[in-house]
Amino acid sequence: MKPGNKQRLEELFDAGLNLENARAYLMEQVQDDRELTDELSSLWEHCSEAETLFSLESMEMMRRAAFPPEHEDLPEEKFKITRTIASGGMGIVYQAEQQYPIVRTVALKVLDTGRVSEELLSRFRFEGQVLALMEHPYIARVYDSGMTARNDPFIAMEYLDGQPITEYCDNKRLNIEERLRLFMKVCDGLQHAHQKGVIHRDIKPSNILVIDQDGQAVPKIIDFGIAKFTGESLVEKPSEIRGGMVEEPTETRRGMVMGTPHYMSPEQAAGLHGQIDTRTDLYSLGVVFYELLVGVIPLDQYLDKETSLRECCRIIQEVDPPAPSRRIDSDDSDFQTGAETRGLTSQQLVRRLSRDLDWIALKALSKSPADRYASCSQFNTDIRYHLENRPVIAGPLRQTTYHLRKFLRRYRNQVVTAALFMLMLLIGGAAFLMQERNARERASQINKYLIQLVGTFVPETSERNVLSIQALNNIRKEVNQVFRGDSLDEASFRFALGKAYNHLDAGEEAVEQHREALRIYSRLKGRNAPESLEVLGKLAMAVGESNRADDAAALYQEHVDLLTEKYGARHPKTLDARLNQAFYYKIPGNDRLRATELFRQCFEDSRYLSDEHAGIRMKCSTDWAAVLVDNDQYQEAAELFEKSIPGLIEHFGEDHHTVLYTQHNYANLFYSMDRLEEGIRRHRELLATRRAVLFPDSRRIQRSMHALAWGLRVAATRKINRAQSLRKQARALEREGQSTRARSKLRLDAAALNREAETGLEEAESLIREVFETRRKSKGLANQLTLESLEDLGLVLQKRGKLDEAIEVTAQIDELTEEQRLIPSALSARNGRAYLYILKEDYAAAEGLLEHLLDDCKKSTKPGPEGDKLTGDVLLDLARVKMALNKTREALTHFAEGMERHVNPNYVRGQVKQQLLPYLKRNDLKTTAAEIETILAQEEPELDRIPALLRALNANPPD
Amino acid sequence: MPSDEKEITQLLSEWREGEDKALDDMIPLVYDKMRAIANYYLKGGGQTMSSTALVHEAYMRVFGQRHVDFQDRNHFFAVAAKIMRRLIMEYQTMRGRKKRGGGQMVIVPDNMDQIADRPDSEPHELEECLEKLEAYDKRKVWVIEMHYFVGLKVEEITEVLGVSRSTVLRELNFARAWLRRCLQGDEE
Repeated sequence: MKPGNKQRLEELFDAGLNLENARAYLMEQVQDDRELTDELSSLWEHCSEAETLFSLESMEMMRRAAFPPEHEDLPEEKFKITRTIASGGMGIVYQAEQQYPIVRTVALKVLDTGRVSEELLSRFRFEGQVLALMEHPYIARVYDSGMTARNDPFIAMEYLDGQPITEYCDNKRLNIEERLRLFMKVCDGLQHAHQKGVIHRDIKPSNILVIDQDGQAVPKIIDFGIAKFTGESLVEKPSEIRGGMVEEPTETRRGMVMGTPHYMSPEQAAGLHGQIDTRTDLYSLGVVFYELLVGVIPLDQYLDKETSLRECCRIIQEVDPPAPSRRIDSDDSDFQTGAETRGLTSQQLVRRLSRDLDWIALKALSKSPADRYASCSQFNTDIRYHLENRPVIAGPLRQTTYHLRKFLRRYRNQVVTAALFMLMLLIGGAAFLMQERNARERASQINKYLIQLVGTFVPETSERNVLSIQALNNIRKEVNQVFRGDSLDEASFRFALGKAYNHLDAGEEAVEQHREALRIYSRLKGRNAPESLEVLGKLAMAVGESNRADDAAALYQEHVDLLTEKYGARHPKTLDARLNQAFYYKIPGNDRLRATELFRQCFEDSRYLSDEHAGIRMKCSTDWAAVLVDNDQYQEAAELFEKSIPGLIEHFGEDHHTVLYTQHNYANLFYSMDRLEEGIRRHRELLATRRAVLFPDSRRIQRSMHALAWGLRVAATRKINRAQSLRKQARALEREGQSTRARSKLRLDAAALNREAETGLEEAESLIREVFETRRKSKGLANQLTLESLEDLGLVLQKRGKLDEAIEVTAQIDELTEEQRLIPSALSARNGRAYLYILKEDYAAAEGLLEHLLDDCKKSTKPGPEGDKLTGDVLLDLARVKMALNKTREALTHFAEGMERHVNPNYVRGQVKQQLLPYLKRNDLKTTAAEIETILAQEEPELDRIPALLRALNANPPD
Repeated sequence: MPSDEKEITQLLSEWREGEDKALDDMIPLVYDKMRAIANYYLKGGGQTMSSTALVHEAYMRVFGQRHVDFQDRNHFFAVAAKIMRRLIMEYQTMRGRKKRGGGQMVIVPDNMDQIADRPDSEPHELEECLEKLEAYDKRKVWVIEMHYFVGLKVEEITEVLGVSRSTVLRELNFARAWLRRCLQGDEE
């Protein structure tokens, strides 16, 4: 072939490589040259479509071999070796005295290059860099790393005179609780590493040393020797563990095996290096956990020193370990001694481990990473729950008796009377009531207990689960039979019953009981008696929360008026009622402006209250601060929060729902102020607190999870964008032929960012998925909140690159009836779903969805900014789809209308730049494009002139 | 620095200055070195070893931690990649011979499975095709060697060759289609 043709051939081949449709066209260009066309078509035939693109991961190790560090301090001058601590497969560990810059004892790990492969060497050098990133009291500090004069790599780390965690616990004869508390610290340390994107990969007791520090047992995780950055990996995988070619480790090969066999996770055992993530460490941590409790590793019956590596791998992948309590053989003297070491008899140990600790251990040891704890902090939290007698996450999801028992144990004193009484009611039912002679006496008695019962469960600590609607219905039936609507007892009884219904989200029943109670009180004691007023307040709230708002506004107003008349406008009781009224108006769809005004008045009126009424004063302040956040007045809001929260906590206590509610608003403020990390940290803490004090399916917990997931998603999106721009910089340097070092640094940073983003998104997904599923179960799909979380779930999946899964998940919307599809959040979720199809470039599907949606939007949304924003979004999306489908007329019409509807000028301008202009130019509509460009170039672009231009274009299309 | 290593660096610079014979002189030296490293690891009982690790170990033996001239480094990789190809071919042939008697594969070229579409394709067929491709364009073979026999990633080849990523990709795609066609027995 002629030289000129060669180049032509390669160019054409490349041009048609990924564009099969273009091939015929390309061939036409050279149709006269038979040799060229034949060659082209036969080569294209052989570029298999299944060809996997190259992995873009670069190998850090390679780069290091090719670009060695230019200069290193020589450690001989810096360190004076005192003794040899250990020597093994990787090299020698010395105890040494560092001479400068400061004198201290260090553990000096020197790798013997004569005996190890380049692979191991790189891994070692890498260790220093990885470790230097971490700083945590439970992770051994790395002071220095580099090369010795003999070119042996070394790492100088904190010298620790410690023992492996298992030995330490046994030598100190720690009991189970002490062991758990120590273990929780290990979780803390490892969590830190995971947050830095570092996986240990070799967690085992000898890598968790424990030292005594000021009388405290302090664990130190060492030897992140085979840790690697999870984002950009680099270390060559050893091939020993590949299926079918497993060989026994020999002396010379020791240290080449990734992970110590017995603590290895199933995915490591399967050689699935690509699947190794932080949950791999969680498995190994689970093995250590098991060993600390039981005294032996989980599969010790199958694994011993004699077991070959191949066999180990098989067992770890296939055999399920027995639960800790089942592994203990009370007749075995080894276990008896082991139990004694833990201060128990072997039978006691079995009881101590059964249920909670069994569940926790087995969850950590799940074969599939997805079934394990999602993070070290979750593992940690679950152990804490166990120690605090709260239900553990690893436990059964819905086993009411289990949760109830936990609850009773926690609130033993308050609950015992009430719980007993409830049992009596449920078991004895009518029989118990019938034995009583005097109906009034009976009622008083029941009343007393019921109020106590409700008082115990209702306030801030619980919702659902303990009381059941069924039980309340039984009670109501009795009440209806016994009473005649003329006694104060009946009123107070019905009031208590109503509150109980309310907390079971049984709004209708609650309203009914409250109304009845109010009717009786009003008749017997007057409308403005304290009892009547209390019921009136609750009734207003119950009506306000129910879907049928009816007379809620009137009830709130009456409540406030009566209290004002009786106590004055600034009385704490009145202010409380006024706040409730303001909250009612704040509910979306009610009257936001009115709410703002009411909150402001409360705040103004409360400022002059004495310290005696600090509680209500703080409430008014923080609620006003939340309104300021909504109105973008962040600085004022921050100041107000900072001033009021300490007082609020002092008055109500850390765990009170008012305080937690305020903390939630405060955390949101950080989101608004663009301090995402701080917001995430606060929401995370808040979630932990709410999980600890509330029942597991509380809607407040869901709110926290939602908020946390939101922050994580937004933060991750930003990290991904930042990583992209770093890679761009790296490419730019590359083009300029700039230093490799700077480029590697940028790429490493980008990879670390991507890894962090992925971790965040992973957590966000699991949070939002849980929220969605819980809501779907308890409230059904056709619910404002459920649909909101469904939309969020789709978003998170999309961000994680799981576009198809996002489409699949959001398909649930189709289950809604035509009418239900008009719920505001259903409209918004449907818009999100259509957008997924746009991303997938399935414009035909997107078009159908959006057109249907547009009809529904026009039918259902109330006039006002929120409805207009959604309709605007839909119109602009639809315009984009029409452009992709080359339906110019429709595209322009929709775009014009979308611009007019949309309320966010920044978004609109972005769409004009990114969608409209390129489309006009592509289609040779140059005059209009030029006009629009002129508008955009204005200091204050007159965007509202554009729709007219588009319509004009439609009216007079160019030829 | 031991004498043969000095010799290698000397030969590298000669080669760079256009002395083509230097390459022929250098190959046996580096080849011996890589053989020795491979044997060291494999005498333990016929385990597998990564070709990337092998080349890099050889690199470390020759250059150690010294700062190495950019061109020397590239040329070294070029030589090592050729040797790796030869080593792998030898082992493949040996394995082919032993297959009936139950032998073991000793070196796993890192990306080899991608190219050997047909499990029974004989090493000499591949060798023949590589030679044909070499006659067509030397650089394409070099890229193939580095990617498939040494296991370098595209980004790394980019660095070794000092060309853009898209150039490397283009070379690889073309060479791959070319080789696949050749292996399937089509006449050129």
